[in-house]
Amino acid sequence: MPERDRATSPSENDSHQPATAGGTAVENAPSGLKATLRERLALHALDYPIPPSANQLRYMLGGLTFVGIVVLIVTGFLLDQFYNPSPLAAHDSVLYIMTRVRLGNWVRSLHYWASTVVFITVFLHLTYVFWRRSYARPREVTWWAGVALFLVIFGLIFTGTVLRGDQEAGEALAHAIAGAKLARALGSVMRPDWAQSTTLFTRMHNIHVSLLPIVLLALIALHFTLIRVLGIHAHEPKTERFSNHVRKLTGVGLLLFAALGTLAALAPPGIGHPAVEGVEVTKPFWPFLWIYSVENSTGMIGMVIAPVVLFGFLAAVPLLDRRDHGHHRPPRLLLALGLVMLALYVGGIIYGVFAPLKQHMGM
Amino acid sequence: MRFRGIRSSILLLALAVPLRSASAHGTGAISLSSKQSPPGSTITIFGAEFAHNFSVRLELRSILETVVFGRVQTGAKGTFQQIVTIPATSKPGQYSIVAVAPDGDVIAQATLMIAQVAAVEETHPGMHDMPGMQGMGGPHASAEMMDVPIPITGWGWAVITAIVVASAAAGAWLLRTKRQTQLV
Repeated sequence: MPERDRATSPSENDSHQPATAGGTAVENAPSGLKATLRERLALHALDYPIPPSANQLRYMLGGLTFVGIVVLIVTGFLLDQFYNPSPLAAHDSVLYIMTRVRLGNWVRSLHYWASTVVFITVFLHLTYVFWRRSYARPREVTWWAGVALFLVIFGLIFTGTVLRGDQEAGEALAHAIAGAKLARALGSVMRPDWAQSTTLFTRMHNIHVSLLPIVLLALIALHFTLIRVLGIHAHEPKTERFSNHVRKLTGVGLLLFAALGTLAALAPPGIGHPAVEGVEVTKPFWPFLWIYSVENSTGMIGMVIAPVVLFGFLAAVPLLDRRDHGHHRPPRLLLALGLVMLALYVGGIIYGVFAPLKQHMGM
Repeated sequence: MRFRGIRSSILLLALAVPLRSASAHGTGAISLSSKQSPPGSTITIFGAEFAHNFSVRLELRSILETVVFGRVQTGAKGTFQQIVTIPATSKPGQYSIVAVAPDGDVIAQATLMIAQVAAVEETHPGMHDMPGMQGMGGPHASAEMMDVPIPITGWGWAVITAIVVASAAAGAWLLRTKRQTQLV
């Protein structure tokens, strides 16, 4: 392992951990609640060394994404106690949450803003990891797990949008069905006739609250485990304890939560009128506007091609840069390709905001 | 011995409670002349298998509203028949028509879908059978947000403020506290 990586690896310099015999701590019994909890919960395991730069905000983007996901899980659990996943009752149950449940509108708003922040932080995290070439060997799987997480978050935002049951939701679902038909066998699960016993709308709810969260948590576990084993990618000889990083990340996370809470109270999201089939009068939620922009020029096939191109590129990144250690930035060609993708992505969203409404179904 | 007595009392109480509530009134069954009806229309509610000469309250219930149709008396055979009018202001959606006993228990219910059928079919033919969203929808598509009045009480603002301030204070405290953690 090269010098710069060795400094960040937890495999060495673990002398601060308590001595063990057969896996059991042999230190004297601790006194005081803090020491007792530290021993019983094995918190000393969090004292492994990491580079101090991990406490900089740009290195915390992944951790802040996790904080946002925790907020999403808690608020999502609360919302689901009052949500009715039947196509007929969904819209009304959202109205019920907004108007009848104590703090329901605030909790819903928190869910909305947390999803927005998670999307932004995961996007920035991915961009920074690409810029720092942290996808290179031996961290390819860590990168792929991150890309898969990005994809799952897209899926969660999409299904969450559909669950509102308003016009935008109806159009999103209609687009998904059209995309599934274009994808032929690959999209069969997303077709309404895949399950005759229930509606696709109800299945979208199941996907949103069970399937995708389970996949998300599994990918997070893999991502975190690989970071723990391979170490944080930073070129620093000095180290500090991971437990201190957790403390600082928790601090920033709480400030983020306070900001989200304020935003949720002052700018709650609305809800559109109940969906009417067969018409297109809305644009998608802004994270999907880049797909909308592609559809404007290519028609419905764009909603299949655009995600395949973006995620295909992201998945191929470690394969396109097989150089060994000693390089801190991606090769010029890959960097240029990455910048083009970034420009198309951000440009597509901006274009989508200002582009006139267009009927895509049947194009 | 004393505990055995207490346990026996609890057991008897536990057995007595369901027996008592079950014997207060039975359940019944209601059916509707139509399972789908537009606002302002009339439907007939048929009741059967109720207690004889028993008074029940008929209600139209949805997530957002409850409309009381009124009371109806069952006959000697435990049946009734009542014509009711669906309020013209009811929103399209899924509702329940329930029979409520005098003690507030729901003893029978049937599902009613309120939909502006004619208007919807006129505007978007075949919408009801659209895949994925059967039954969803109203007559007019709109990209506008609904004007939903959100009641936020002083209590609500106080709780939100407390949560936000506590989170910010805890976060700031964690960031300000310095620890000697450098391992080198």
